[in-house]
Amino acid sequence: MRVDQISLDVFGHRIAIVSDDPAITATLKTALSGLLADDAAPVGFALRSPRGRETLHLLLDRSGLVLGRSRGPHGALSSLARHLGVFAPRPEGTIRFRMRALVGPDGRAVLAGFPLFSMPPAVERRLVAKSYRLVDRLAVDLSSSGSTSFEAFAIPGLEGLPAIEGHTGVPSGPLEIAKVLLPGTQSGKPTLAQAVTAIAATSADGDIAAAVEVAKRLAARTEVVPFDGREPPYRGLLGTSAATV
Amino acid sequence: MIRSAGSDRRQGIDGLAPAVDPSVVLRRFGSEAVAWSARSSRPVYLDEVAALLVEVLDGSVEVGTLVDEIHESMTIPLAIAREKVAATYMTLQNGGLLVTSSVQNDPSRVEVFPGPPNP
Repeated sequence: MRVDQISLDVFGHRIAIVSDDPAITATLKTALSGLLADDAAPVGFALRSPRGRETLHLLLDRSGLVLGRSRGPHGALSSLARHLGVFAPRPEGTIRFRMRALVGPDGRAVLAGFPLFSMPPAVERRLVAKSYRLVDRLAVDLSSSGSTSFEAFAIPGLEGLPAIEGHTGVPSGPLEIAKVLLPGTQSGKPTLAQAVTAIAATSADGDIAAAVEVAKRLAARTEVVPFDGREPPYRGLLGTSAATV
Repeated sequence: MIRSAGSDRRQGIDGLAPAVDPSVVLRRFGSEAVAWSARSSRPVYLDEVAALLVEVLDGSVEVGTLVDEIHESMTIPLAIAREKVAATYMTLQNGGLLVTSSVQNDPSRVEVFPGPPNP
């Protein structure tokens, strides 16, 4: 099977996309023409078309973690375009944290520390059943108030594609954080200091004192969910199984 | 008495007078705390004993003296106090929180990708 690699320079981050579908590769090259890099970049994402009896197109990250599944190629392509926004500069005054965000039915967000909702990946229909949508970005930018503050990022040519059900792009306005889910053992219940340490440790850049302050705001809304590696903590989204710090 | 190599190493720190790097960001949460050195990529959780010690480690008190003080003030056995102080010293040292810390960590923070590239 032929696999093409498209190397990009996204706001100074050199990153490549791997695709095994020549039509998708051509679409990407056209849409991302302004970001193409001359030399080979390290792989960041991969688009994989169905093989054998498979029916779903997959968007994978560089480790092979599934970021999204779609019936047709456009959903995965749409998700990829949104994920590239993680390389855009964070809005001024925010701190970037490596956590996944899920937007709930009340418009508030739930943040999930790795590997929750990543390994194993969220099943889209389970999210839809709970009226949650997974934000297609590997990190969240949080203001000093503890709310999300995402910079919009769009790639002309890929904007109008249908999104994967159960996924969403970054919200246009700030979102209040309803809770933060951290993986733990059933008997584990972090103290406030342990929660702050765990959250602050996921900060990707920015002033460390500011990162601790944001973590402090989130720690009061932090829950530890038992993680057994078998399935994402869907029950944690409803707050029925987690132990409040 | 038979002592492990680790135990011998810890005995060897009794004469040291560690000092916390003044640039460390320290926040208390009740009897516990979070500390973070700009030289390290990660913050460090400090339990009750570590949170107490980090306040007094200014380079003027030897570890052996601290062991005695912890033993008396917290009314815990001397051997336990020694283990606690030694473990705390290693936590602070490895976390880049002491002026003598030689931080091995890459001070750059976490990447947005949670895992390494899959070849």
